Amino acid sequence: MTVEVTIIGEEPHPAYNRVLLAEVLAGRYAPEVIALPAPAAGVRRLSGVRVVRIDRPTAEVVCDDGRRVPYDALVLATGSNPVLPPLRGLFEPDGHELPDGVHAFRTMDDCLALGAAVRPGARAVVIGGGLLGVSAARALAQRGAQVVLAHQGEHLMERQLDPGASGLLLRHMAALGVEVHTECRVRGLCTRTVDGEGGGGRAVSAVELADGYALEADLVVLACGVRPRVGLARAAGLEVARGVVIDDELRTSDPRVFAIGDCAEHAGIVYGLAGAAQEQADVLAHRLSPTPPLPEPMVLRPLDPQEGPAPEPAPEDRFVGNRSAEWAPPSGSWGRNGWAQTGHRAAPGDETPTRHTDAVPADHPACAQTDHRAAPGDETVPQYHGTRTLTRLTLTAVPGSAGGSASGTDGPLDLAAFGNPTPAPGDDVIHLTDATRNTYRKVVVRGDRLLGGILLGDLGTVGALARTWESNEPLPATPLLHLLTNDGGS
Amino acid sequence: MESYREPMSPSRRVVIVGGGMAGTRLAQQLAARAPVPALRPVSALRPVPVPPPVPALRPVPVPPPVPVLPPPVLVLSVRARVPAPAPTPTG
Ligand SMILES: Cc1cc2nc3c(=O)[nH]c(=O)nc-3n(C[C@H](O)[C@H](O)[C@H](O)COP(=O)(O)OP(=O)(O)OC[C@H]3O[C@@H](n4cnc5c(N)ncnc54)[C@H](O)[C@@H]3O)c2cc1C
Repeated sequence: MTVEVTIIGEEPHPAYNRVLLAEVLAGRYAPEVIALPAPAAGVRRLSGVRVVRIDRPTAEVVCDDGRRVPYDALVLATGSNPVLPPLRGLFEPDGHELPDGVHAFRTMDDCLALGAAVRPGARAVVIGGGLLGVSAARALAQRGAQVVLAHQGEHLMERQLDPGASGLLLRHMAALGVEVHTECRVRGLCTRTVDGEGGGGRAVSAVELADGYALEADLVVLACGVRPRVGLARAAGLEVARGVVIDDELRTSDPRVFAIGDCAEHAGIVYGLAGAAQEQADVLAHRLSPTPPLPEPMVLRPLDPQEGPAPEPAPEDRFVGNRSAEWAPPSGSWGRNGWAQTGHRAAPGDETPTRHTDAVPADHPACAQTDHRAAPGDETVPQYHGTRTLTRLTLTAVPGSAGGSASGTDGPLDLAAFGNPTPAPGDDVIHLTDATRNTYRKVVVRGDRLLGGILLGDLGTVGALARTWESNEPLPATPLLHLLTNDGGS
Repeated sequence: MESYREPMSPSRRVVIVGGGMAGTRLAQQLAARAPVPALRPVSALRPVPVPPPVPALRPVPVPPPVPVLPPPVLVLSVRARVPAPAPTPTG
C-alpha cells in the first residue's frame, strides 16, 4: 500500500522556515535561504490554494477555486493568525484593510512588505515586546530605522524571562538603538489620507498612547501574539477549545481528521512553537504510515458532480494582513536551511538565530516526553505526550554599534529559556549575574529536578541544561552551582 | 468538478491543509517512511503563477547609536532557598 500525499497551502511561496523571518527582514538572509527542503517528488503540493470547507460526510476538502480533494486521512496544519489588538483607527468602520504602513509579522508576505517599506531613518513603532516584537524591533534597527518598542507588560519577553534577565535584554536593545517603553499601553493609531490606485487610502502617521502621548510613525508592526486558526475545524463540527482539540494520537474528535502544529491543542496546551509542531508531525508520520490501519470510514455519500461554488472561508480564517509583495525564489536555489533545532543540538558554527520556545509550565502533565515507543498493549501506534523545548534567540548586533554586549564589544546577545523560572516556596534558585559582561544565569530546582531556567549572554552550559530539562532526568549529585559554571558538571 | 479520487485506488490518500512548517515536515516524513506513488498528470492541478523575482534584501549600514547606559555592576553567585510564607494566624 502506498501513501498519496497532497499538501494544500494558501501561501504562494515554497515552504519556508518561519522562525527565520526576522533574519530576512534584517537583510541577513535572502528569502530563498530560509526555504525548507522540498518534500519528495511524489508529494503533490497545491500552493496559493485555500481550503474553505471540510465535507466530512464525503471525506473531501473544498478549495477556494471550487475543486474538491478527497481524503482517507485529513491533517489540519493551519497554523495561527496574528492577534490584531482592538486599537482605535486600526480599521475603518466595516473595513478589513489595515492602513498603509501597518504590518503584522507572521508570513513571508508580511516580511517582504515590511522590508520594502523600511528605509534608513524611517520611524517604526513595534507594538508588543514578546519574542516576535523583540525580533522585529532588532531587525528593523538593523535596517537603519529609528525604532520604538511599546510593550504593555512590565518587562520584555515576559513568557520567557524574569525581570533581571529582561533588564539586561533591555540594555542590549537600547544599545542597538531601540527605544523601549514598558508598561506602555497603545490606545490607537492616527492616519492620514493618501492617494491610492483605487481612490484614496489611509496611511499611519502616529501611534497614540494611553497616557496621552503620541509617537510619530511611518511604520507600525503589530506583534501582539497569535491565535490558532480553527475556523475550518469549527465549521466542520470538530471539537475546538482554544485550538483544535487532539488526543495522544493527534486525532481530533473525528478519528479520520488529525491536527498538528500551532492550530492544535493537546492536553489543554496550544504550543505555538516550531519544536512542538515538528514533534507532532513526526509522531503523526508514524501514525499515518501504512502499517497501522485507519479507522473505518464514516458513512459516505457519492460525490456530487454538480457542487456549487466554493463557500466563503470562515471569517476567523480570513487572512488579515498586508497585500502580497511581489516575490519568487530563484529556481533551484531552495533547500539549504532545514528545521530549527532544539538548542543544544545545534552544530558548532550553526548561526540559526532563533530556536524553540517553551510555553509549558514544568509541572504540567504535558511535560512528559514524546513517546515513539508502542503504547501499552499496542505495538504499532506511537503516542504524543507533549513537548519540552527550549527558547533560543540570538539578537545580532547592528554593525558598528556597541550593542553586542554592554561591555562594549560588538557581538550578538544569545539567550535561552526553558520551563518555569519563577520559584515557589521550597524551590532552590541558583543565580549568577555579571552585568559587567552582560551575562545572567539562573536555574530553579525543585527536589532533584530542573523546573526552569534562563541563560543570557553566555550559553556555555546550555547543552547539559537542555538535555537534563528535555529528558526530565534527576540532576547529578554534583553541587548545583556546576549547572551554571561548567556545562552541568558533566 | 474534478477530483483526485480514482476508483479502486490502492493508495491511502493523506490530505494536509496548510503548507507551513508542520504540514511540510509531515509531508517529508511521510514521503520518507512510505512508498509514494509516482505523480500522474492530473488536469485538476492548477498551474501556480510565479510572480517576478525581487532582489534579495541587503543589510543597510547605519551609524552607531550613542547608548546612554547605567554603569555595569557585578553580582556574585547566590544560591537561595525561597522561604515558605509565614503561617497566617487562625481563629
Ligand atoms: C517571526 C516568527 C518567529 C518565530 N520564532 C520562533 C522561535 O524562535 N521558536 C519557535 O519555536 N517558534 C517560533 N515561531 C513560531 C513558529 O514559526 C510556529 O510555531 C510554526 O511555524 C508552526 O507551524 P505550523 O505549520 O503549525 O504553522 P505555520 O507555519 O504558520 O503554517 C500554517 C500554514 O497553513 C496555511 N493555511 C492556513 N489555513 C489554510 C487553509 N484554510 N487553506 C490552505 N492553507 C491554509 C497558512 O497560510 C500557513 O502557510 C515564530 C513565528 C514567527 C512568525
